[in-house]
Amino acid sequence: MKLPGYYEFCCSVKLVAGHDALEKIPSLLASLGAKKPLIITDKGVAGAGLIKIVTDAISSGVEIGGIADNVPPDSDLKVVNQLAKLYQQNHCDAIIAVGGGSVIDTAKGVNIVVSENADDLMKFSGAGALKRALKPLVAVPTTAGTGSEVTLVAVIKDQEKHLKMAFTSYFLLPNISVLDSRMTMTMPPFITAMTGMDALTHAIEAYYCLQKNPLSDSSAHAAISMICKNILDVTKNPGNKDGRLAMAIGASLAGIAFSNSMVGLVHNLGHSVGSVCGTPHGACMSILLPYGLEYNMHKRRNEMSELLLPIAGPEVYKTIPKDIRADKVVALIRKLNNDLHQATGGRHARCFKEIMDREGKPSVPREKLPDVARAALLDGASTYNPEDTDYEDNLMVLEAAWEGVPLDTSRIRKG
Amino acid sequence: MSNLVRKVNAGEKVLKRLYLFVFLWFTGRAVQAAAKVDDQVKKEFDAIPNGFTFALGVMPKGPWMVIGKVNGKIKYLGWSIEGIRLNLRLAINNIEAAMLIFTFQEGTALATARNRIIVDGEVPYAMSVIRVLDIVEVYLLVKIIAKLAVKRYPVWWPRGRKYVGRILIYTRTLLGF
Amino acid sequence: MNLSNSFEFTCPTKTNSGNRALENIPVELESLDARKPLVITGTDIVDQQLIDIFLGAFGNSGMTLGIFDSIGKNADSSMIEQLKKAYIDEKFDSIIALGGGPVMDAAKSLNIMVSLPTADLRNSSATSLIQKPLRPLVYVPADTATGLETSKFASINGATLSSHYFMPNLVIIDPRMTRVKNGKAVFANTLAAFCRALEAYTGQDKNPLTDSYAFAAIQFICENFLTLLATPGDSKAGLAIANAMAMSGCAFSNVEAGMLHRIAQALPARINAQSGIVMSVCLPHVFAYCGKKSGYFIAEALLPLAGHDEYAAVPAKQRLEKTLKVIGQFLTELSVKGPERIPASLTEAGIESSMIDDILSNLKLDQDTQMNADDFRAVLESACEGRPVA
Repeated sequence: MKLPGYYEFCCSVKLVAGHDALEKIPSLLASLGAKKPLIITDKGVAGAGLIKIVTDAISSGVEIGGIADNVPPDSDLKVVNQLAKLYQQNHCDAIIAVGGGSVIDTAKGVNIVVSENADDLMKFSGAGALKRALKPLVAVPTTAGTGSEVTLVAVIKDQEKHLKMAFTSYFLLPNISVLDSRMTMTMPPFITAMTGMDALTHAIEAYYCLQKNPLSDSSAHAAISMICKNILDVTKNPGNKDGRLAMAIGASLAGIAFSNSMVGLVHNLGHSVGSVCGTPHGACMSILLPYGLEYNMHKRRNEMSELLLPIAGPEVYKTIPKDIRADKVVALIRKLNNDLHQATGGRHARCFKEIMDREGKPSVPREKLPDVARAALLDGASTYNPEDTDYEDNLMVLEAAWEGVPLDTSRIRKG
Repeated sequence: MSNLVRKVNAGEKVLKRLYLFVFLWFTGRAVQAAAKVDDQVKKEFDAIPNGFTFALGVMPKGPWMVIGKVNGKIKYLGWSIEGIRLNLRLAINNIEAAMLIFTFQEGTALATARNRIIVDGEVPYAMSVIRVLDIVEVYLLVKIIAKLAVKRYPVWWPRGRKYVGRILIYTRTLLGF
Repeated sequence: MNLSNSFEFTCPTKTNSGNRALENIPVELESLDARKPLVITGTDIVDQQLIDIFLGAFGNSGMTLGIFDSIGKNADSSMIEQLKKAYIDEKFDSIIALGGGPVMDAAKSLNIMVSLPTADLRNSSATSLIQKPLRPLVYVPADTATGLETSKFASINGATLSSHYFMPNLVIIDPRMTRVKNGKAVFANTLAAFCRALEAYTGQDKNPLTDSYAFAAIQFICENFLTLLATPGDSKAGLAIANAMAMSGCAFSNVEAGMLHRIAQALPARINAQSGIVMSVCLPHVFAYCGKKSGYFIAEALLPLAGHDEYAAVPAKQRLEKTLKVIGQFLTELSVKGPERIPASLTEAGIESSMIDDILSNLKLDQDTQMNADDFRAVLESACEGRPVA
C-alpha cells in the first residue's frame, strides 16, 4: 500500500445502510437533539413515490416540519434562500435531503443559511467562512450516484447571474447518510447505468490522481469491486434489492474516495462538456473514463494495473501478464460501456456523437469541441490530474471521445 | 497561569520569513515583467478583468505577493494585503509549507493536492494565475529545478522564447519596469 | 460480505499524515474554531526532544499554548481534576494529546470534564449524557501507541468507557514524532493492533467502511513491521506503523470486539503477559476455528496479508489454508527478528489450561450472541496446547 509523503483524509459522515435503514432516522435525529425535520426533495423523487416511503418510515418517530419538493434539476440560489425561510417559519431543527446531487447540494446550502441565522447564502462563499458545526443534516441519496452525501462541497447556481458557486467546508458534510435499497429501486435502467458509471469514475480517478492516499485507495478498491459486480445486473434487473444496496454503498464509498483524493481529466473535461452542451454528468463520465486512463497511463501504469483485480476479479487477474493489465482495464471499461449500451436499448452512450437530446438532435456537436476544450482550462480538476493538460491536449482527447476511437497515445506530450 | 500548566508563546522563524519575503518580492516583479514579455502570459491576463487583484502568500501574517490589473496593466503591488480588497487569495497554510513549495521540494500542483494551499476566490481565475506562475518559474529557474516546480516542463518551447524571455524578464524584474 | 445485514459506521477523525504534518495544527484548530490549545503529555512517555520539536512547529503561528508534561504511566484522576480547573480558568478551547496510551486516556477524560462539567466519570453511564461533539481534541502519536487512541474507548479510573464522541477530531501523524527508538516499545502493541484489524476485516459484522480502515492497517503492518524491527530509525516504516495503529483503532470502534481482543481482556489479573503477545499466540487458533464457521470471512484476509498477485493466484477453496500459512510464517519471522519470542502456546506464555474456566467466567458470555463458551473453550484449549493449525 502506497504511503504518500503527505496526505489528509476525513470522512466524518455517519453511514447507515440496509434494506430498512430509513426507520432508524428518528432515533438518529434524537441522538443529535433534533425532532422536527424539514424534508427537501424534488418533483421527480416525490413523483416516484419515494417521499411517501420515507414519511411512512419516520412519521411515528418525528414530527415532519414540512416537505419542500421544488428543488430544480440544477440547484438554485433563490430556492436555497426560500427554503431557509420555510425552515425558520416552521421552527424546524433538522433537514432531511431525499434526492440526487442537486437536492443534497441545495440542502447543504439551506443548512448554511439557517445555521448562521442569515438570509442570504452569498455571504458565506469564501474559504473559511464557516466556523461552526451546522444544524443536523441527514442525506438520503436516491441515485447511486453522485456521492454528494459524503462530500464537503455544495455547488449552487445563481440562475440570474449565470454564476456557479462552490462552497467547500468540512462543516458541510451531512451528519448522517442513509443508504436504503428502497430509494434506488425505481431508477430506470438508463439512469442506473449512467449514475453507476459516474460512481465508478469517481473511484477510478481517485485511485490514480495526485491526492491519492491509503484510505481513499481502500475505499476506491471496495467501491470499484461492488460497482463492477453489480452495475450490469442491476441495470438489467432493477428489482434486485441486494444489488441496489451494493450499488448505493459502492457509490458512497466512491464519494468518500474522490472527496479525499480529488478527480482529474475525466471530470475536468466532463464538467466542461456539461456546461457548454448541457449533457448529463454521468453520460460524460462514462464516455471519458477510458480516455482519462489512456492519457495518464504513462504516469500511472502501476496504479491502473492494480485496478484489474477489483474490476475483473481474481480469476481474470491472474491470467493477465503484469505489463498489459492497465490496457486490459481500459478494454474492460469500454466493454462495460458496450454492455450497458445493449442493456439500455442503446440509450447509454459510448461516445459523444451517440448522445441525443430529447428532440433526437446530437447533444454534443463536433463544432463545439473547441469551446469545451477552452472551458476546461477554467476548471480546477486539472490540478489533480497526474499529467498536465492544455487546450491542444483537451481537444485531442475530446475529438477521440467524440468519435469513439482509442486515444493515439503517441500524440501525448509527456512530462 | 496556574503552576500546573506552563505557557508557551509560539516563536518566530526569522530567516525563513526573510527568504520567503525575498522570493515573493522577486516573483511578483517577475510576473509584472512576464506580462509584458510573454504572449501566453499576456493572453491569460487579458481574460482577467480590470481592477482585479490577487495575492499569493503565507498564513497567518504573510509575506504576500500582491498583483493587480491597473488600467489594463499588470502591476506588482507589494508584500502586504492589509487594507487591500482581494478578488483572489492563494493562501499557503503555514511557513513550513511555503518553504517546501519555494525550495521546490513540492511542486505547485502537488502542494495544492496536499491541501498546503487554500484557494479563496473564483477557481477559473485561480487556474489562470497558477498557469502564469508556472510559466514564470520556467523563465526564472534552470530546467533541472523548474522541472521540480511545474507538472510538465514545456520542452516544445523554441529556444529563442525561453532564453530571450529569460534575459528580458530578469532585467525587468531587477530594474522594476 | 452479507449485505442483507444493515450496518452503521462512524469515524469523525480527520487524519493528517506525513512531512510537516505538525505545522498544520494551527490552521486545523482554526477551522475547528479553536485558538488556544492545552497540550498534555508526559516526559516519562514522550522524549523531551520530541516535545521540543512539537513546540517548534508552532513557530510563526502567533499562537499561545499551555503545556502540561507530567502525565505518568497511570493517569491520575486528581491530576485531571486540577487540569480541568486550569483549562477553565485559563480559557483554553481545545486539547492536544501528545503521545499515546495513558496520555490519550487522560485527554479523553479531561475533554468530557471540560465539555460537560457536571458529568461524573465514576458513573459508567456518564457517556450517555453526551448529545453533541465535545471540545476539539487532537491526537499526536509519538513513538509508542496502543492502537486504541483513535478508538471510541477510554480507560478512566480503571474502567473502560465507550463513546464515539471520544474519538479525536484530528490525528497528526508526523514522521519526526513517530520515529521509533527500539523495537521493544512497539512490538506487543503493534501485534495487538494487527490482531484487532484482522478481526475487524474478517468478522461477522464487517462492512465496507470498516474494511477500508482495517485493510490499510493490515497492509501497512505486513509491509513495514519487519523493516521497523530491523531498523528502528527508519522513518518511513515508523510512519506507516503509526498510520496502521490509528486506522486499526477506527476500524475497531465500529465492530463488536472479536475473540482475540476479548480473550486478552479476560486474562486473570495475575498474568503478566502483554495483550499483544497473547493475542498473537491465539491468532492462528481463532482463525482456524472461525474459518470453519459460517459468517466469518477469514479467507478474505489473504488479500491484505499477501497482496493482489498472491491472492489471485490461490483458488478460492484453498484461500483459508493459505491465509493460515501466511499468518503463521509472519508470526514466526516476527518471533525471530523481534525483540522477544512469540510463545508457541499459551502454556509457554504462562497461561495454563487450568485457567480456562477463570477466563471463561471473566468473558461475561451470557450476554454474547456471536460466540459461546464452547467456542472459546475450544480455541483456548487449542492455543494452550499449541496445536498446529495449518
